[in-house]
Amino acid sequence: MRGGIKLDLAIVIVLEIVLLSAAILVAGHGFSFYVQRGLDDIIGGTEYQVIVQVDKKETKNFVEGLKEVYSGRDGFKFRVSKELGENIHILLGYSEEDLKNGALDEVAKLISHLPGYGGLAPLLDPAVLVKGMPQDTYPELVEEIHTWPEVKFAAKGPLGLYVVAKNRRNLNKIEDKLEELTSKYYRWEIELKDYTNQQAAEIREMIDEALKGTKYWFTTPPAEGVIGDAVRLLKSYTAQLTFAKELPVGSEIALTARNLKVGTKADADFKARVYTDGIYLIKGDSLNLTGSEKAYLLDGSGTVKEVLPEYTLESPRRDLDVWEPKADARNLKASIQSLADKVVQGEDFGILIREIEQLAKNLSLEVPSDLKSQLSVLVLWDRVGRLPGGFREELAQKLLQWAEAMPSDPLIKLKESLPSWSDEDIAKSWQEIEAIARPKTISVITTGSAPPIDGVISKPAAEISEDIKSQIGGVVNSVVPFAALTVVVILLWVFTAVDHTLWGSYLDHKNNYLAPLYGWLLGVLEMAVVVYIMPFEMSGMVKLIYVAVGGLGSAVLITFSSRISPLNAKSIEAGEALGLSQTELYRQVVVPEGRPGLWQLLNRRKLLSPRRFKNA
Amino acid sequence: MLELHDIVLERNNVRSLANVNLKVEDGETVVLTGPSGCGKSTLIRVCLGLIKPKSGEVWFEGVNLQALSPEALRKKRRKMGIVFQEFQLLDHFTVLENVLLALWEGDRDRKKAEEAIKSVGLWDKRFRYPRQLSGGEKQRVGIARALALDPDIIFWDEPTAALDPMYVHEILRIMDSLAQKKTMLVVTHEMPFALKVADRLVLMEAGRIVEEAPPSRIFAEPASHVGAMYRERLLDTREALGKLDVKQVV
Repeated sequence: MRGGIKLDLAIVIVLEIVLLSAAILVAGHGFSFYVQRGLDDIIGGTEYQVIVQVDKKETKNFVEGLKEVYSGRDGFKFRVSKELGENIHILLGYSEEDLKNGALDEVAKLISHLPGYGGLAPLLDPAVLVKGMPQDTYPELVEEIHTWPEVKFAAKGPLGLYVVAKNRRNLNKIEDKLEELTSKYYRWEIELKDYTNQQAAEIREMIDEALKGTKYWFTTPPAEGVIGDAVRLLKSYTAQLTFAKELPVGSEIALTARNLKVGTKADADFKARVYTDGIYLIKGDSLNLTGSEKAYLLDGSGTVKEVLPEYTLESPRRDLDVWEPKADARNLKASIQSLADKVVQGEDFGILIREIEQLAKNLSLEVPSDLKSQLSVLVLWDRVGRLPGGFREELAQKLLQWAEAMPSDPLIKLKESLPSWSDEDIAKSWQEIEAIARPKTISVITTGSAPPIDGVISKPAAEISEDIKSQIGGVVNSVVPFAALTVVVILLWVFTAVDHTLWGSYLDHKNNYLAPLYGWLLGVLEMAVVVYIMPFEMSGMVKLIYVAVGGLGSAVLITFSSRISPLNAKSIEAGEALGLSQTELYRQVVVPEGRPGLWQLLNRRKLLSPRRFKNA
Repeated sequence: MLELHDIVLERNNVRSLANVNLKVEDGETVVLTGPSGCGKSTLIRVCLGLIKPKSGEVWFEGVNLQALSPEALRKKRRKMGIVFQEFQLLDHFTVLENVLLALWEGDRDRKKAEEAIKSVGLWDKRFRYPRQLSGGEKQRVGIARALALDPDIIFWDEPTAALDPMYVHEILRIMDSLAQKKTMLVVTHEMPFALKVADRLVLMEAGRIVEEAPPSRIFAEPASHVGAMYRERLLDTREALGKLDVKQVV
C-alpha cells in the first residue's frame, strides 16, 4: 500500500514516456531505413556508389559483361534495381580501398562498352560537394582528405569534388574541414562594365601581372574557344581606322565627306567606335569608303565634339584577291547549288558544316580549322535566333557566286567571301556574339587572398555544400520526425484510451468533471517530453502543434471515458462497502476490471495476494 | 446500535427517502420490506455511508457517520457487513481472494477469511473464480466476505432475490443461524423468513416507513395497507400449503 494512486499514475506516465520515446526512435529510424532503401534503388546510396542505366533488354548481357570486367575485384558488388521505362538501374558498389584508388574515375571506361550501357551517374551519399576548385588541385586535396577519419573516400565527380562521409553525422565536420582546407584558395572577381573582348583581355593582363610568380587558375575566361576565334575572325575582316592621337575607349567617330560643325548632331553614313584593341567601322561599308572622308569625334549624345586629324583605313575586304578556277569541279558546283538551296530553306548550320566537310572529303581537301570555328559560331548564332536578316539568302548567294567562279580551293574562297558582308554587318555580328556569349565577370582563382587591383572582389574559391543526393537524404530525414511523431501521437492516444480513460471514467464516477483537463494535461505533458528529448530536427512551431494535437486528442478521449472504459459500478460499490481506500479501490477493483494496458501490467504487483496475509 | 434520524434523500429532485427514522438495537434482527422501489436498498446504502442523505443523521455505535472524515468512515464501514442482492463479487479474484479483500486494509489475517469460507461451506471451492460457482455459492461467498470482517451489524440487501429457488433455502438457513449471533438489518420479501427470524418488521412505501412492529403483530393486525398486503400473501401461502397432501409429498 506504499505510495498512493498518484504515484501509480506518475509511474504509468513515466513508463509511457519511455515507451513513446522508444517508439519515436524505432519509428523514425525504421521509416528512414525504409525510405532510404527506396531511394538507393533509384539513385544509389552508401553501399552502391554508382548507378548505371542499362537497356532493359540487354540486362542479362550487361550483367555478364559486368561480372567479367570486375572478376577478381574484391569488394565489388552490384544489384539490379528499379526499372524506369525502357531502362533498368544497376547499382554498383566498390570497396573503400577501391574507391580511394579511383574506382569511380575508371568505371565509365570499364563498362561503357558493355551491351545496353546507357550512362552512369556517381551519386554518393552522404557526401559534400566541393565546387569551384580547379581540377589540378584535386590530387593534392584528395590526398589530404583521405587522411581524415570521417571520410570514406573522395573522388572527382561530374560537378566537382565529392567527399563521401562514413555517415551523415560527419557531414558538418567534413564541411568545416573542407572549408579550412580550401581556405587558402581565393576567387578574385571583377565585373565587366563594357562588353568588349579587349577590356576583358586587358583586365586579365592586369591580373596576370598582379599574379606574377603565384599559382593561379582562370576559371571563366571571357570569349574563349570557338566563340573567341569567331569574334577574332570577324574582327579581322572588319575595316579598321588608325589615328595618330589616342582616342577615348567607347567613343564614336563619324566619317563623312561633308563638313560638320562642333556642337552639331552628326548625321554621317559611316561610323566607327573606339575599342581597346582598335577602332572598327560599325556603320556603312568600307567598300564605299574612299578614305578621304573627314573624321569627327562624337560625345555620348552623338554631338560633334572634335574634328579629328587624318587617319588611315585598313579594309581587308578591299584587299581580297580574285580567285581563278584551277580545277574542274562540276560535281562540286552541283553540290554547292544544292547546299545553297538548303541554306535558303532553313537548313540547320550543323548539317551545313557536315555537308561542307563531306564536300571537302570528296575533293580530298581538308576543312580549315578557322572555317570550322566560324561555322560553329553560325550554328550557335542561328540557334539563339540572332542571325542578321537576309543572312541565309546572302550566304546562299555567295555560295552560288563561289560556284560560278569555280575556285580551285572553294573552301578558302568561301572563307574569303563570307567577309564580303558589309563592315557594319560584320561589326554587328561580333558585338552580338560577344553580348550573348561573354560572361559579365572575369575571375581567377589564386592562393593569395588580397587582390592587388582596385575593384576586384575577393572571396573563398571553394563552394562547399551537401551533395544533392545527400540533400535528398536530408529531406527524407526532415520527413522522419513527422512520421515518427505521428506514430507517437497515435500511440499516446492508444495509451490514453487503454490506461487513462479508466481513470477518467473513475473521475466521472466520483462526479469529478475535471477529467478532460486531466486528459489534456496528460497529452501535453507526454508529448512535450517526447518532443523535447527526440533526436530529430524539427521547427519549434511544428513541435508545438504536435504537442497541442496530442493534448487535444487525449482530452477528447478522456471526455468519452465512460464509453471507452465503462466501470462496473457494482464492483466499486462492493469495494467501498468493504471500506477500501480510494487507492486500493482503484488498484484492486477498477484497474483489474479495465482493459489490459500498462497500468494493469504495473498494477499486478500491487494486487491482493493470499501470500501477503499473515497466518498464510 | 444503529439509529437513523429524519433521513431525507433526494435524487434528481425526486425524494427517495422522506423523514425516515429507524432504530436497530444490538443483537436485534430487523426485516425491512415493502414494494419494489420504495427505498429499502437506498436506506441500507445510507446506513453504510455509501450515499450521503440530504438531511438527517445516521448514528452507528454512538457515532454520527455524517460527521466522520472519509478515512474514519471507511474504518467504520469495516464494522458493518453487507450482502448484496447480486453478490457483487470481483471476477478477477478467487473465492479466497474475494473474502481476503475485506481484510486487505485491515489486519490481513488470513485465518479470518478461511474461517468465514468454512462457515458457509465453500472451503473446497476457495480457489475457484466466481464464474465457476452457482448463484447460491456466489451468494455464500458474499456472506463469507461480510463475515470475514466480523462486523457488528450485517446488512442484507435482498440476498435471495437473484437466486434460483433451489438456492434460496440454503441462504435463508445461513441467515437464520447468523441471526442468533449478529445484529442484522435485512431487506427481503421472504415473509416466512421474516415471521420466523425477525424481531421487528419495518414496512416501507414510497420512501417512508409506514409500519413498524414485531412480524406476528403486523401479520395479525396490519396497520397499513402494505401490512395488509403482506398478510394476504402470507395467508395465501398458508392456504396453498394446506392443500398440499403431505402424505403424497412424503
